[in-house]
Amino acid sequence: MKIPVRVEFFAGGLRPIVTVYIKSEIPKIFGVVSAIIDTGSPTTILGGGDIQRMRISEIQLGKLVGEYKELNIGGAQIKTRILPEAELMISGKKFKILDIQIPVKLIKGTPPPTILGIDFLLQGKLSFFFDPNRKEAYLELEG
Amino acid sequence: MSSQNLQLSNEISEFEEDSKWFYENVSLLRKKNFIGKFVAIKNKEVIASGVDFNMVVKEVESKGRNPAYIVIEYVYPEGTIILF
Repeated sequence: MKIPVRVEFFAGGLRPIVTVYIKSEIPKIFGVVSAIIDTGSPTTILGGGDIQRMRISEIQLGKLVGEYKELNIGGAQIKTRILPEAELMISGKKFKILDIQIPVKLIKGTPPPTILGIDFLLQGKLSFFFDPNRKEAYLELEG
Repeated sequence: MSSQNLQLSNEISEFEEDSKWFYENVSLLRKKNFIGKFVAIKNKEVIASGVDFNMVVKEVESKGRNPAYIVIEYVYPEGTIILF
């Protein structure tokens, strides 16, 4: 099964982008995001702006797990914690993804976008095809 | 499909259309003096903008919209390259 991925020009180059509906019960998080598929990133991270759009209360943010971790991404410096489990829906297909990095503090810079990393491909049992010449990209489910 | 699922499906489709519109029209937004600002897009129109992300989110809320389903993007100056 192939899941279409858009190829858009963004911040200096062509990027593979998908629209993702994200939902988590603990903490309570839901909303729609545009996510860049980045095979150079080992982890999936929810964009700082996206998390602000979802109006997550301090109480809900307190339910994130793990130590505060400092990340440098796209010129921004952020502190993250872990969202232990979330359901991601792309083109109607649902994926249960563990350990998503959630920005809890922007130290400097512009908040980075949501990035789907290698962990998303591994957990979703997906392969990824990207042809920037033809502006063609898709995710493909194993089997 | 339940009415709740149908509504969610519509919200996701509209978000995707607005996201596509943003990337296709970012040059136009630069010409309209949105460089260095966050813009909120709904139905292929800018409904709020500003340099402070939280203020844009509040403006979206003041218009009766749920920002969780609204595209809010930053308009980088032309030529900006961001490495993720």
